This record gives sequence, structure tokens and C-alpha cells, in this order.
Amino acid sequence: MKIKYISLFVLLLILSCSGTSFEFSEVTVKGGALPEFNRSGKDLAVGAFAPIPTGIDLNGNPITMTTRVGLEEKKASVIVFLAHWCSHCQREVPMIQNWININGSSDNINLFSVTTYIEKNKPNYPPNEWLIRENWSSPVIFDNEENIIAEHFGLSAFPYWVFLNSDGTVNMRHSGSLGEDKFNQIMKSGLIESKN
Amino acid sequence: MIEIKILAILSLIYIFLLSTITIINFLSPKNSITKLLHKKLDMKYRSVLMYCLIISLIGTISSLYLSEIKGLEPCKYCWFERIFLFPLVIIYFMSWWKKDINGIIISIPFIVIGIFISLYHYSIQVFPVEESCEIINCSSPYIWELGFISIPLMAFFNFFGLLLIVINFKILSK
Repeated sequence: MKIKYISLFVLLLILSCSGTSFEFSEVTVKGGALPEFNRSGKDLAVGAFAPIPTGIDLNGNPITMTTRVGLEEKKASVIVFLAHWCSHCQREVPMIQNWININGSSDNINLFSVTTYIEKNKPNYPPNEWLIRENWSSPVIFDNEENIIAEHFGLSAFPYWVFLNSDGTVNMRHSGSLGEDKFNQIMKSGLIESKN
Repeated sequence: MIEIKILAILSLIYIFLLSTITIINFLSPKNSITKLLHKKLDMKYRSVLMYCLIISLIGTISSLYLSEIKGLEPCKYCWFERIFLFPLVIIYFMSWWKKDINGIIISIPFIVIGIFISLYHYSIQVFPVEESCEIINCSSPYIWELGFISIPLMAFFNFFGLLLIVINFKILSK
């Protein structure tokens, strides 16, 4: 009888532990790293060329995030860094997707996303399932275990935004929720191109 | 990290059973469940000190395992919880060794403060107030087992479990 209960407990434990998995893929980054973003003070990365990450997207296809490759478009870009466990990112994703659903792709700006700091034991894992659940339609790169993309972009907190001019230089960086109004304003009117 | 999941499940089962027994003891101290338990476990003060020592030792070892072996860096509130948990091991051990009932009384402020800190810590994980999530942040849980169990909640289970043992001792020693 005792063995029966123990077996049942072990079985329940195994069932509760079996879940979906996420495989890290290879990520490469071209270009130098930007300094870590500091909210208080002048952003030294403004005007510098942003690194160019290459990785795997939500469908398992290779993806490179740059304004310099698609020169025919010559658009400014916004890169949003997301963490699956961050509650603010969990609120930001539906807000962004809702904007895209209503307005379509922006004429002025390319929107990219990076999911980073992926950790199995944190909430809302795995990130690919989370984004599928949210019908995420923007191009996304999954960062590697060492968070190499996040480190190259000087990420300090989530959600993290990097705004790039059409020539691939940093226009501005922001950490924290952007909010619907500010996001709408940037996506509709574009960035005011700036250099350091 | 299957061991963390096991720890989370066991801590939940432990606190549920202990809370149920405490409620039953509170309503009827001479109930059949308590009588049955007393055949296996007595509630004399020295045994109570030993139970508390085991529980606080499990909490301390688990906390050190998560930080030193699994590499989960403790945040500010984790450190506050540790400040009130780690000394309990020494207090209970010395009181058990010296057969001093005062160890139970001395431990109560540590337990109560630990409960308040862990509850506050858990509340800021459930309802974060900042507008961004820092990489090492008290409001960004490292683990989130079964959809609600995080490290501060397990710390709360540990402190609250100790309080329930002390309450049971008070009820049953009357």
C-alpha cells in the first residue's frame, strides 16, 4: 500500500515537472559593445554604430537585425529587449502587438525584438511559447545563454528600448515601459535623426 | 532544476498539513489526530526545540544551496530574510543542547519579523511597483514554481511553519 502511494506521488511529480523546452541557438554579434545604459546622465552611446546581432527567429530561421543590410529600405529601427519573466515586458508585448494589429507595420520605423535573460526556472518560460501565445508578429531574435546581445547593447533593465537612426547609429535608449501614447507617437511620426 | 520544484512542492504540503493540524488543535486540543501524532512525536519543549532546529536548518541549507551552488544571487530582501533565519539554527541548537526553554521565546521575534519581510517581499513580486524589471531585483522572482511559489514564499513557509510549531506547543502544553 505504501509503495502504491509513493509510486503515485513520484508519477505526479514527474508529470508536473515535464514541460515544454527551449533550445538556445547560436548567436553572433558584429561590432563593438555599447556602454551600459544609465538612466540618470548623458547616454554616451548616442551617435555610435549599434552592434549587428544574428540569430534564430521564432520560426527557426536565421535573422540579422540591422538597418544597414536592408539599405533599400533605409528606415530607422526600434529594438525592444524583452524578458519572459518580467511583468512589465508581459504587459508591453500585448500593447505593441495591439498597435501593430490596428496600424500595421510602421512606414517610418522597423520594429525588432530580442528576448534575452532566458531562464528555465523563472515565470512564463519558455519565451517562444509566450510570444506565440501573444501572436507576436515582429521579427525576434532569441539571445544565447551568455546574453551576448543584451550585453552588446548595454542593457540594464527590462523592457529595454534602443532606437536607431536609418544609418544604424544609436538615436536614443530607454529602459522601462514606454507606454501606449509614447510608442504610438514614435511609430507614427518616426525618430528625429540625431548624432552625438 | 527539479530539486527546487521538489522543495517547493514539499514546502507547500508541509505548510498545508501543519496549518490543518494547528486549526484542529486550536478547535479541539484532545482530538484523535493529535493523539495519533503524539504516539509518534511528543510535544515536550526539548522535542519542540529539535523540530524547530530541523525546520530552520532545512531553510538555511536550502537558502545557501540556492545562492552558493545554483548561483542565484540574493537580493536585498532575501538578505533581510536570511538575517532573521540563520541565527535561529544557533538559537535552537544551543537551547536544545542546554535544555533551555527560553530558546522558544527568544526565537519568536525573529520568526515574526521574518514573516513580515517575506510577505512584503512576496507581495512586491506579485504586484511590482517599479516601471522596469532590473536584472537582479527583489520584484523579479528567480523561480516561480506551480505558478505562484517563489523563494520569499518558501521563506514565509519556513518562518510560518516555525510559528505554527510554537503555537501547537503552547496549545498542547496547557
